[in-house]
Amino acid sequence: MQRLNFLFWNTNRKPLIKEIANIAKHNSIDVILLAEHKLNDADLLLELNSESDKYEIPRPIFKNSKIKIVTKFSADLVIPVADEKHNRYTSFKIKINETEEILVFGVHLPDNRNNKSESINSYAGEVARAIKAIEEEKKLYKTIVVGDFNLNPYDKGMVDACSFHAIMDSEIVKKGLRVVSGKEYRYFYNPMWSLHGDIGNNVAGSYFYKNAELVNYHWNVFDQVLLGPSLIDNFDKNSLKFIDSDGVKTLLKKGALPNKKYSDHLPLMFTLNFS
Amino acid sequence: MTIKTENLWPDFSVEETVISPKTILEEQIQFLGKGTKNVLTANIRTETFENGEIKNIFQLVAPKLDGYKYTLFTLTQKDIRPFPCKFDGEKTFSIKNKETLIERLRVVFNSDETKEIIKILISQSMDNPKR
Repeated sequence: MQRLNFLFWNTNRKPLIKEIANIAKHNSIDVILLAEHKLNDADLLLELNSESDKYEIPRPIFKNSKIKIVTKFSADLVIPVADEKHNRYTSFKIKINETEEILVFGVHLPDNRNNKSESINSYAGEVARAIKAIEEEKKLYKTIVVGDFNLNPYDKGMVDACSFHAIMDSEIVKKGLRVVSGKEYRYFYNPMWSLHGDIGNNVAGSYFYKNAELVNYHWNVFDQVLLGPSLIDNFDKNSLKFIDSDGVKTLLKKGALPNKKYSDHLPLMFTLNFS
Repeated sequence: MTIKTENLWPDFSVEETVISPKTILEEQIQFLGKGTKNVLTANIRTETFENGEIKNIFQLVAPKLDGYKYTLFTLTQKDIRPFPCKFDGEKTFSIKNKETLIERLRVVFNSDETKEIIKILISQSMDNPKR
């Protein structure tokens, strides 16, 4: 059994090289995706590889300046697939073994401070349709979409069939698609619904925001992973978590809220198993 | 059949038919192929919406890099009428007619950023002849 551990973290432009390396080491992370990074590649690799030379940055073809990728796979096994001018997503294939490859999309949608929620939902639709077009073109549906969506799992841009069409029930998603008004819409599985709230979880979300508005969710789950139907059986549901410690120190402050000294977002981790 | 009524149709001048933005983009794809000896090409992915909107997404393609794609810009028409349309690249512009579109494309294709992307894609493609 080959276990593949993924880490996504919006580092809020903080110099978190040490913390990333600690998380990678304590959780045996294989694939790292970072958003809002302000990290020097050489420094990051030096820290990640301080105990052994494992991590590599894929070839410089990747043109996304907002999402950085580091993996334990050699560069020839990480194949760039697509990028876009607005840097809202980057995509690549990973050749897991002789017979299997997966399609990975790193996503960072525009933020809530500068965009209305309607706009973010529209952007989500654009990115989701681009992703589905790439799946069709590559005939590869073993897809992971991971990143900072700046949307909660229940927001329109996540659930709308014309957008990600991502729902919380893996058995329904395994059926593959749903027909609405004669048109077929493929599903994504969104396991993140299970991480919103404090029952059974170490934290109630990945991003905390409280203001004086009457409607305020306090905890948000902006950092999410979605899985295509073909990858659900590979997904270790128990592995999914927001990380509250880098293995050396807590990433939380008093009140168990994200400590902004590190990042205002908590890192997200999950595992895929391959036989 | 004997024609008993006069021709009620207006005079159609084929020459005056408005050239569509997609046709202009397709012509530019031909030029890109020629200019890069087919190391690079481009494609247009078209999305249509229930409200009548038509979106043409212009993507650079590197066939030797497993078909790697880079989305350079998007042109959005409100309906089947080609102009005015919206150009969404680094910034958003309103495109009134064919001339404005051609001028905008000239600026985008010749920008330092586009030239750098094309240079990288060509160079990486040359490093991967077997793909």
